[in-house]
Amino acid sequence: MAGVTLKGVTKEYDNGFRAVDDLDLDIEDGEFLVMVGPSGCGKSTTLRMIAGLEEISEGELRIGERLVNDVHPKDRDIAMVFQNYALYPHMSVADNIGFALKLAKSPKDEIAKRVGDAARLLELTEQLDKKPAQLSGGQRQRVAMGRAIVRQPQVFLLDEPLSNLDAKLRVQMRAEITDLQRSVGVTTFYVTHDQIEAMTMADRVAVINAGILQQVAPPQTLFDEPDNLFVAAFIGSPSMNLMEAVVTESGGAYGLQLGSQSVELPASVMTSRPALRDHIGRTIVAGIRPKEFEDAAIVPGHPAGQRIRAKVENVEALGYERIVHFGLDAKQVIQEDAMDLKDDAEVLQHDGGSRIAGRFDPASTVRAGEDVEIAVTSEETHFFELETGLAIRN
Amino acid sequence: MVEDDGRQVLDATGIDPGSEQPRSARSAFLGGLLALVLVVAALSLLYITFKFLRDSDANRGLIVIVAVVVGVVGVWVLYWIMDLVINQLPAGWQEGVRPFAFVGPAIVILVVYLVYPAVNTIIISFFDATSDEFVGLENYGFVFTDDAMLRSIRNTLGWIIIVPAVAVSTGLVFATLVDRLRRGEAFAKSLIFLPMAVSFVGASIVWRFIYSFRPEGFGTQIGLLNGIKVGLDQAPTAWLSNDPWNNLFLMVIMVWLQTGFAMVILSAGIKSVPDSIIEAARIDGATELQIFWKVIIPTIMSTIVVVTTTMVITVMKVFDIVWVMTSGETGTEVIAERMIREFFRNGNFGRGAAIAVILFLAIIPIMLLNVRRFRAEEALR
Repeated sequence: MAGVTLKGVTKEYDNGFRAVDDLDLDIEDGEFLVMVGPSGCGKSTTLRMIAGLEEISEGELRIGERLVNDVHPKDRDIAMVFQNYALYPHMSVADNIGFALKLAKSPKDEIAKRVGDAARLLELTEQLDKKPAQLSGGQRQRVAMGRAIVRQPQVFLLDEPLSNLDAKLRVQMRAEITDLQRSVGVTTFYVTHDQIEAMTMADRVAVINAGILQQVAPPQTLFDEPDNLFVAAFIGSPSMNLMEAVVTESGGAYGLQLGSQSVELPASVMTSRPALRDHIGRTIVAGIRPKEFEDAAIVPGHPAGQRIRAKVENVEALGYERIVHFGLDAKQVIQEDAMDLKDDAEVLQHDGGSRIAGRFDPASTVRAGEDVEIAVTSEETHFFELETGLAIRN
Repeated sequence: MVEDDGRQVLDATGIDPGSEQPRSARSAFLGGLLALVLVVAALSLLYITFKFLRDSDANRGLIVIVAVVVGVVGVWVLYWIMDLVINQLPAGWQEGVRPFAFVGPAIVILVVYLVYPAVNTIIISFFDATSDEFVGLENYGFVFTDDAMLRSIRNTLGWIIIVPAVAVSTGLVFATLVDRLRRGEAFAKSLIFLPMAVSFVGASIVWRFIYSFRPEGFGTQIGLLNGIKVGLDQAPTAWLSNDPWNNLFLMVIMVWLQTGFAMVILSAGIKSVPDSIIEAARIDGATELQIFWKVIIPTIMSTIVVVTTTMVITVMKVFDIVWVMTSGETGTEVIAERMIREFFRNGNFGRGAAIAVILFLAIIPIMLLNVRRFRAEEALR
């Protein structure tokens, strides 16, 4: 088995459009790496370059130690699962799975054995004689997986393999694919536009936008320490609340000015983010996740300085929590390309202000139209430069 | 009317047997009668117009206009009247009868122009040349014993096998290659498709000039092929009297005409094969040739079958090319050409009909194959 290394990989089309720009990425041996980004961001192009279906304009692509820029797809020792499965309609399931082995002139009994093994692993034994058209979506998906694993390749490439399935099946197949990957331990590069898929399946997630890699990190790190505004807005649901703010200092105490209101910042915020000191008094972007807001009535002990007052605009009671939307007069920062993708995207521009989402305890009794006090865990605030969108940390 | 209890109950339900029913029956009868009169009137009007148009010496433009107006309006009126008639029927019958009224004219036309001639052909195939005397299977005996007939069956078999095979495979090769052109695909395709626009007779005349042969002492060779041969200091060849090769030379014309048709349909088939399947095969390790044979061909198999069977049927009916080029002389007879010859040249209706019946029977299995293949494909969809 082998890892995949991309060094300065670029895809430029004849018309000068750069689908992928100077991409450096190291997929470790046996790793499950998910590349996620909005449509047209270059993620599928990246995958197709690794597969050899798309030419690399610049840069180096290595599988293991071998430079494969000019190697034919069939000689790259990779297997790919397509978004629409790309099963051969005229072949039975068994022939579909065994086609690569047959082309490689493997002995018949060997083919039968390996196809049988793969079918058992994927619970397709009953379907081996059927044609793809007679299978359900989930079964076709499994045949496509079987076709990939039967070859025991160095690398799996999966191109949005779950996007044609219904929601319930998608959740189930998510688990099946991760289990399968763990059990065969093959280096896997998985492309999706669904951040939940990325977060739940990946060892590491690579976020890409407009052909440029934004951040590569394990899911939790991506959530806790987004490198820039795009990642911050893209990862997490509901999205991080992003608004313009100013960090203030007076007599050794720090505060965060959100529009006309101010929230105290504990000293730990400044010590853990040394770079923030340079931005005091300047307009920056503050990012606060919905989970950092709470109905002040639920947490009576919350420090008095870390509270704001706002008018509740809308409450979505989900049973286990309440998503409460409220208005602030701080200017909202909108990451449109990141929001496009999200089911819950609510890009509502308030006249100069922000619409903030908070996740309140179900015990909260706030109602739309009320003016309420909201506790803010300001310690977990994320800070970004306004001009560049980069995180301010150290 | 309300003297006894029974009647009163009926009254209450709104069905009055005493006065209501006879009146409705009467009106229905009158309505039906009126409708019947209308139908007869409409039909006679159409008939009179037809007679008038057929026998008239009037201005042709006028005749055309009258035909169109009476035809279109007449048909509309006919449907309208039939609908009216149906509305006079008892309520329970109306919806059962209505579809037949609308499909009826089409069925009548089908019967008159298709079923009746077919049945009549079968009948006269058992009679003698003038359809006067019943002769049993004698005409069929002729079909399977006459030398020219046997030659025509042999030749037609050759046509059926060679023309579709060559035209479809050439079309397939063209379609595949053209598909890979970066530009000029449409132009290349139009060039190959162009002969399709030429009629069989027209094509035959073009090819007469290619195959033209003049015996020595009868002038210069104006034929393309013989021109080339003579230019190369070789003796000219009488292409069209060179049995059995002359059959092949005639088939070339058909191939020339039909390859474009095969190419266009197969090209559409090839384009409908999803790119991802071809990419998957490429990753699975298939060479381009393997992709062609093991992925593309099986995927478009149904298209290939349809094109082939359509062409087989066309070829079975080939007549014009032979008629124009050789008149079926020098061993180039084909079944359809024999049929026309017996019917119209020799005036032997019995034999002509018998040949037609044989041709018809021969086409049936191909049609069945087509239909079955189509159904199997549909099931896989």
